[in-house]
Amino acid sequence: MWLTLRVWERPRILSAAALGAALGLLALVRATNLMLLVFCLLVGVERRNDLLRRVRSLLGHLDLVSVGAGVFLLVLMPQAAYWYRITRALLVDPYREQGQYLDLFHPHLEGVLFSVSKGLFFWTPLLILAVAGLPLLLRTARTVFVSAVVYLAVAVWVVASWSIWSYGYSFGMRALIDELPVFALGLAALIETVRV
Amino acid sequence: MIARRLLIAAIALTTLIAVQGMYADWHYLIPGDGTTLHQRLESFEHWPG
Repeated sequence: MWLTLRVWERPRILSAAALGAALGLLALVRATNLMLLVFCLLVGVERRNDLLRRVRSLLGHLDLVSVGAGVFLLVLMPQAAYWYRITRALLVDPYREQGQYLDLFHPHLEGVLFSVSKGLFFWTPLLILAVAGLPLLLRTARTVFVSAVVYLAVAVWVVASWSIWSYGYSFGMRALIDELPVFALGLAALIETVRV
Repeated sequence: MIARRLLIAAIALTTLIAVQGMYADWHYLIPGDGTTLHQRLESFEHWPG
């Protein structure tokens, strides 16, 4: 998140490369973490016009985009090489043989967010406060409001679309752990608003 | 001031609920998957310490 803000504020090769490396590491941890790209692209977008400006900015910095993408691929290479060595394929979906799949048209939103079994808000009720604080970002940190809300909506939708939405033996909704830093923005906004 | 105290209480309470849940999970007081409301409520009989 910090690198994203830095790249948009001061577009430089070093920060673009660092962001590419960070995204590569995130993808190695869990491929769906690449949803964070939504956050990266929307940080600073407050109105519809900002979106157009953002696209123009990206097209104007294709050199930096290429550097970031190159470093991103470089970080992924050891994993791809390992997969190729043992399976003769560069990309492997280890869940396919287990019959698990992503179905984006039938998300289990109620189960992922509210169920007793694994519901995010049932097992981690602090996040109710975090979500309540998201609209307050409009007052405390306007530049991350759209990116945070859209990213969390996309992430929850994708996580809820996994066929085994309870994600097996674990405590709470473990598939949304990677989203906690963005939830924290909402909680921070709530604390900041009450503190002032 | 009241809002501040309410928020502190809410943060403390929700954190406590989650920590107790983790304790219950760690000590197998609730199943790793498919916990029922009855099992969860019953687990509140157990606290760390």
